[in-house]
Amino acid sequence: MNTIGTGTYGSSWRAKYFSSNLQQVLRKALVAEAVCTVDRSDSFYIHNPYSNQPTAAIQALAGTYSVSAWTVTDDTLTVTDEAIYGEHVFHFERVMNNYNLMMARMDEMAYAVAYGIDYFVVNVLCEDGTGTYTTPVGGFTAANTPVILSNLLSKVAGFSEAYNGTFLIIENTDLPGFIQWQATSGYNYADAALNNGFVARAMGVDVYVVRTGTFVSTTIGSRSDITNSGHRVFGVKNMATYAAPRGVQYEEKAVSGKTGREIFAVGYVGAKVWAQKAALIVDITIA
Amino acid sequence: MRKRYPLSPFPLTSPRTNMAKEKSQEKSSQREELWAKFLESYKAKNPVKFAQKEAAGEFKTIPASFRGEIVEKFVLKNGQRVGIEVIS
Repeated sequence: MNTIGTGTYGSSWRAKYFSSNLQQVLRKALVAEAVCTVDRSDSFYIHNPYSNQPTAAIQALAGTYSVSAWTVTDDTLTVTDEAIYGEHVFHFERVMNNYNLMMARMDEMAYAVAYGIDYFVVNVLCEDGTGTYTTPVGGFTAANTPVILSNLLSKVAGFSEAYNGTFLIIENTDLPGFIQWQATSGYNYADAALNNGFVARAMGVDVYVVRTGTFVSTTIGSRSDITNSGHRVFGVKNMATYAAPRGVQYEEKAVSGKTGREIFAVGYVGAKVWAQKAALIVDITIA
Repeated sequence: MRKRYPLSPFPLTSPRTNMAKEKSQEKSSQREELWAKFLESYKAKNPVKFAQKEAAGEFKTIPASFRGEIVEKFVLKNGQRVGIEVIS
């Protein structure tokens, strides 16, 4: 039999539930996890993993070569931000509810923190990607969607990195045109869309949908240079790094003068689009 | 013949309405000021994208998502706090 703590059994169980639940939410629900390389080390600085791109010489058989100088870029990802939320559940609230209030609040908190991380990373990707593309007028309409996807794919095709797969992050308000196009395209594909609804893969691109209001123009945490209102992002997967030291942490404490428990959840976050690969992340302007 | 009512002894807009109006005007001018500052800092940080987006007319109106707050952040060095900086 497992030994779970020695004193407050209830809080020990909750700690286990909350910690595992947070990690599950973090790994399954986050768009950032799916499109970036994730660094879970406790590092404050993460150094640029990319060096310059060499060009091989093509020459008649000679058996000789010249030694080239290669360089790295002195650049770092710094973990500067945190997604954090706290609240207090009073004892009477817990006792007199006819559902498990603690668990319900923990689930909500886990999703709130996870969304905060996504909100930050998605906006950093969109802002720092140096590829640019403007959609035809109307944005993601049924007629425009295949045009947009084909144009975006051509932006990153030909690079070996494209074999990592590509992603497109749109808001839920872009979906109607997308779904209408899917339901009327081809045979098997249209049948799949008609049976199941939105197909999350189109023309080889993994499409992720975030809620409207995710792409913003405002200060987010330490980043005061985010101007993504009316923008979306497309790119090659694993080209940017997102740092999440120790995932999401949680703490539960008894507070003087209050019954029940105060709980907070925090996730530290940093994100970086590395200079060498920035062109493989495309900032889409919706016309 | 239509009955004529005497003019109301009360002004058309109450002092309270005027105060609310002034307050909202003050708020919107403060928001515009913060937006201008935000754009100024954006121009310094990312001149290439600033020029692209300005040419596309993206900064003509303040987007609804702009929170318009004064934000402070810790200045960190090796993960330690070494000061506080106003970033927008």
